[in-house]
Amino acid sequence: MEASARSKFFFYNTMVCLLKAIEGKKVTVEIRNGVKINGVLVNAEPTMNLDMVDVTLTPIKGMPLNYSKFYVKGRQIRYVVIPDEVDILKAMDWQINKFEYHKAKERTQQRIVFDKRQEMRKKFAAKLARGKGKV
Amino acid sequence: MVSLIAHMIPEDGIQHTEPNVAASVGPQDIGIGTLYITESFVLWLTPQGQGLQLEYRQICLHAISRDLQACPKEHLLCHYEGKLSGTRYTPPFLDPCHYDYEGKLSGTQFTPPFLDPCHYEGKLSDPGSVGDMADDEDNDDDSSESDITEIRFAPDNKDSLDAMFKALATCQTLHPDSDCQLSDDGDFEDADEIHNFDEMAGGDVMFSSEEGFQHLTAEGRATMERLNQMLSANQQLRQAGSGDADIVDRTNQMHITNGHPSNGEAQMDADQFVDADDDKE
Repeated sequence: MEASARSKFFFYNTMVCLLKAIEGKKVTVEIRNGVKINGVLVNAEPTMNLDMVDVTLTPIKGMPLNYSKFYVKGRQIRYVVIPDEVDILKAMDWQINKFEYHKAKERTQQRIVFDKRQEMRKKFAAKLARGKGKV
Repeated sequence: MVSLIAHMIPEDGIQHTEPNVAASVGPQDIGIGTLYITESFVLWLTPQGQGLQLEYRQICLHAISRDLQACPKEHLLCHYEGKLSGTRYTPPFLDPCHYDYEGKLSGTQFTPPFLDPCHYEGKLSDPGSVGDMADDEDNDDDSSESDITEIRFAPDNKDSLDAMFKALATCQTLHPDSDCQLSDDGDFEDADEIHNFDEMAGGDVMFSSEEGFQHLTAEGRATMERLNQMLSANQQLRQAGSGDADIVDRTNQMHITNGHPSNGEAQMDADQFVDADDDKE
């Protein structure tokens, strides 16, 4: 997925990263018209759009309804109930550092490639120098 | 309540086409037609070429219902916010009984222009005003309850529900809401900058502006000074025509690790963060 600067900004600077961290957990979401949604969070987008499965939707009036798949836009969400077992600070920390970890890995990789190239260049230069010596 | 409007069959950016879809708006069935999920809108068309067009920004949620006890057919539910094209919109604060069809208050001569339903409808159907409407709703979101329309699409082929759901979700991500708190682009750049500073603080930090130098310790400033001297010394050597190979080599390496030439400082500001963005991917 192509990530724009804007979506990255939202990911790192809002609590959307918390929602990303608790993917797979059962959450309760209330949306702006008072409807409550209880289900398993599958995916949270940087715009806080939520993708859920096995959802029970409870309207203000009337019977609860079941939906096997559910997608709600971030702008409509009033609040999300985070499960009790989740330590919010730790979850956010873990989520942010997960990306840091991959980035650090990538940097080391780049470093290795750079060093290898430098070494090859040196060898090549040495070869050239030897060639000149013979002539 | 629902009067269908003639639409063209869409051609561009079609993500999913589903024939034989029964549609209903609220409690009312409106017939069977073809559902087109395109990148810019969702369109349901009867064989006569009339139908409903839904804008992504106004679709609050969509879901698949397989609960046969609640509803006789498995269907795709959409909650649509605001006025549905083809339905008569009545602002919730106006009691329609008090108006004749032209929108004049019966028994009185004077109708304030902002209470004229025709006026209202004209404003709402103008696509440019959708954002304004959304802003208004931010203030009184509790009263916007009645603006939500439930639309159900029940395809003959139940297996395509998943594909329809997925296509809707994909297209929904193409239409992010523009009214998030920090919509000013300037804010984003600033915030990104700050973020990058603490993000890179662990290792290869690079500063190019005066502001950046403030982050350096005394030791760091001394190093900076030394490097600058080396750079200028090198330039002098070049100008004098007697380049010391060792210094040239080291300077070149410095150029590589810093990732930018030493002369373009002003233009650097912008470029630096473009690179930082790439790092994150």
